[in-house]
Amino acid sequence: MTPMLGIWASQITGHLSSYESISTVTVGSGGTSAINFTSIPSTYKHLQIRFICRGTSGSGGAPYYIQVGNGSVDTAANYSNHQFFGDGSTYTSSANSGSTANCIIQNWGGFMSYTNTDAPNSFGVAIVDILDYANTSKYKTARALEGREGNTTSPAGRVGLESGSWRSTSAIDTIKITMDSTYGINFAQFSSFALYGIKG
Amino acid sequence: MTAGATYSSIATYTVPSATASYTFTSIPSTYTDLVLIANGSTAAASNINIRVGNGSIDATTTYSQTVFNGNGTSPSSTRYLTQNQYQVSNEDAYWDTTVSGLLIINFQNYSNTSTYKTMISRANKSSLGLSASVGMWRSTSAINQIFFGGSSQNLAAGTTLTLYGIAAA
Repeated sequence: MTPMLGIWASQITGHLSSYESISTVTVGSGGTSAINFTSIPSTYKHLQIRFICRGTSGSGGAPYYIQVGNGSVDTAANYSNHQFFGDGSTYTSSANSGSTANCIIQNWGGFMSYTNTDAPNSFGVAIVDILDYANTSKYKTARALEGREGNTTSPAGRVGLESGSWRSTSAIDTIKITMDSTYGINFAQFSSFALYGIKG
Repeated sequence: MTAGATYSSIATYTVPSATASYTFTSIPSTYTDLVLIANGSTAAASNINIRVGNGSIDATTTYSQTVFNGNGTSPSSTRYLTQNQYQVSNEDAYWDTTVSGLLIINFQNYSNTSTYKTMISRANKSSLGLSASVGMWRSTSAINQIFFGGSSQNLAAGTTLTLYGIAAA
């Protein structure tokens, strides 16, 4: 079979038959505080999460966090991450490294999701790749392409790239996605998160 | 829990001779996301426009976007509000007659009828630079048509457009 260019979205080469849906969560009315993918099989080479999301309240947008683990989510400072993004007028690069980060993707500077008081019906989007997630010989690396756009200048749209690391050789079988807890908000209705596996 | 292979080719088009645009029509609503991959060039320097629609292409000012560019010297970020297209290769990654440009455009949750549609893309042009861009179509209609065209120049013969669908479980 011809190498599948479509996975260039993740820039991972593969074949059409090598990309499988594992699980999807769509948020219902009332919202939810966290998206949990558990018991992720180790039979793939890479994982990809594709989602749209929005916060339930507040203004100015909100960041989302992604934590991973084996058996349970690791909430300790075993992560580091870097990102850079543009907001339509300025560009910024930021980092959480050393012992400061508690999630593998932490777009605290990116504010990639609108909230319900921002641009109506507008949702942030992200495509997150977690590479070699089941390998037990090396630390885990993830990356994201993420953005929001609402035809507004305040809050502005944002688009960015991010990379992160989980300093563990354990296979990842659990992923948790939350809004930044300091905002005290949930994912709003119609936010939708799809987890895919890519075979090696 | 898995749903089997789910990344499918919907349509492929190779431009036979210089042409202004190509439109994918009758896109099924059975997928969750769409991915359009374009590799090609234009008759002269030109941006690439994306428009979408339901039943027909929407060419009104219902689009906006935020772009982040790099050209090897200085990064920049620009926004375009209330536009009549989503311009996926502007500034540092526009198309021309030299090195082929590569575009990867993701249409997230394109068939849901509750949210506006957000698109996120990467533009790569090795001779110029690269960009990441997020765009929005302010409509809750499902997308079943996608327009791809040069903003000021024809697409060159040999330009390839491939549309994939990704279905979530």
